[in-house]
Amino acid sequence: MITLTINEQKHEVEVDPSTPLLWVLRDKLAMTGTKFGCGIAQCGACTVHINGMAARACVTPVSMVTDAKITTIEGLSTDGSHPVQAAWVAHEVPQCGYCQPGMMMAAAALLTQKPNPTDADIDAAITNICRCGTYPRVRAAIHSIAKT
Amino acid sequence: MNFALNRRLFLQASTVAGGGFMLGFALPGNEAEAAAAPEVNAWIVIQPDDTVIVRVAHSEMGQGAFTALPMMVAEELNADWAKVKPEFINPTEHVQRNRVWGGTATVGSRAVRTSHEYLRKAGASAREMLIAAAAQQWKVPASEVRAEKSVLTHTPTGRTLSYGKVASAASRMPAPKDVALKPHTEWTILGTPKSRVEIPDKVMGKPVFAIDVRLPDMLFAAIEHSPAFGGKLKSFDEKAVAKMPGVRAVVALADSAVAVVADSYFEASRA
Repeated sequence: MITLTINEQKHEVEVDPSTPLLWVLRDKLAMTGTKFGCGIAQCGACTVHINGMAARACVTPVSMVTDAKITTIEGLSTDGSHPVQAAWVAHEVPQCGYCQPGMMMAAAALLTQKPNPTDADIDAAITNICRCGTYPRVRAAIHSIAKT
Repeated sequence: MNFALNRRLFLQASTVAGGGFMLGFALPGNEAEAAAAPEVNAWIVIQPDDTVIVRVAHSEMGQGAFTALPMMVAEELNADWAKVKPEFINPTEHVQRNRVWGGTATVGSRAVRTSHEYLRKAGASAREMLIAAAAQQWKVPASEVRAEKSVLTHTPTGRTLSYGKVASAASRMPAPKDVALKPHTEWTILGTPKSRVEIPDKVMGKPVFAIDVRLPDMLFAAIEHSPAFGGKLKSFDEKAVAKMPGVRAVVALADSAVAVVADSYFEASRA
């Protein structure tokens, strides 16, 4: 039995300790907002926060995060009011939307560390892949939050 | 995205399951449905609180169809756009109702290009039925009734009724055989910028993509095939794989691949 703290709630799950956090979230806890993309830490669709830092859940064994505070898109806010979510709505960032939970988690973590990121900071920190090509709006939305 | 049992199917199902209970209300099936949420036609349901549900038969993949297609209906319906609530059709109901919503394939930028005529006609037809229902209630000629922004007005006297008040009666009106569509110079919704309606859900991670669908007792399969084109399957250790956690079956797919079926996708793909 493994105990996890996700979105400020304790969850007990019966899994192999080597199971990636992503699959515990999706398969055991039915939290499907966090997406499976590549499974090899490249695309960022599975990005969550571990103690406030952006992390790729698809390569994070669940045994590594038993003492950590985990935040997923479901916990970024309960009503879509997080500044990143509000900016994403205002700028109509998502197209198909599949990669956007991971994109928003990466953006939220960046803004916590660098409240006024430059384009270079954004490029360096947000390596998430979006097949729809929403990158220009991702940048614009992040800059709009930095200004406020 | 929404595969939940909708109200119509629920009513059908519960009418069958609890027949005696439903009969207790002495309401014929159509009346019960109309009272629940009147379907003016297959595309349009108007609730008593004036919410206009417009059904969408194409998928939303970021191209904006979930917003653009209801705009076509709302334009001819003369609906208040703020009260329009797009809703995906239920695929099961689509089959049960003999594919009442037509083609659902979403491909080649065709959803918007090819849906104009029938969606606008559905909106115009429902608008005429609402006008006819209001005229009947007021006992006036339909030509004296104007429909605008989800409100019906009897022009000579200024009396008004909201769409929600007459939707039930409108749903029992005969559909007009032919309806004239507005010239584009009179459009107030089409051709104007509108916010994409599904975005607030998308920023919360709520949309159910195919990979997110969970059904009772669902199993997951992962397929391993030859990394080289045309490669053949020589052998695989079925016994070793079958012992791994969560694995339910190991299946050879002809002579070219192996599928592992497990309780979760991770367990299947790891095996």
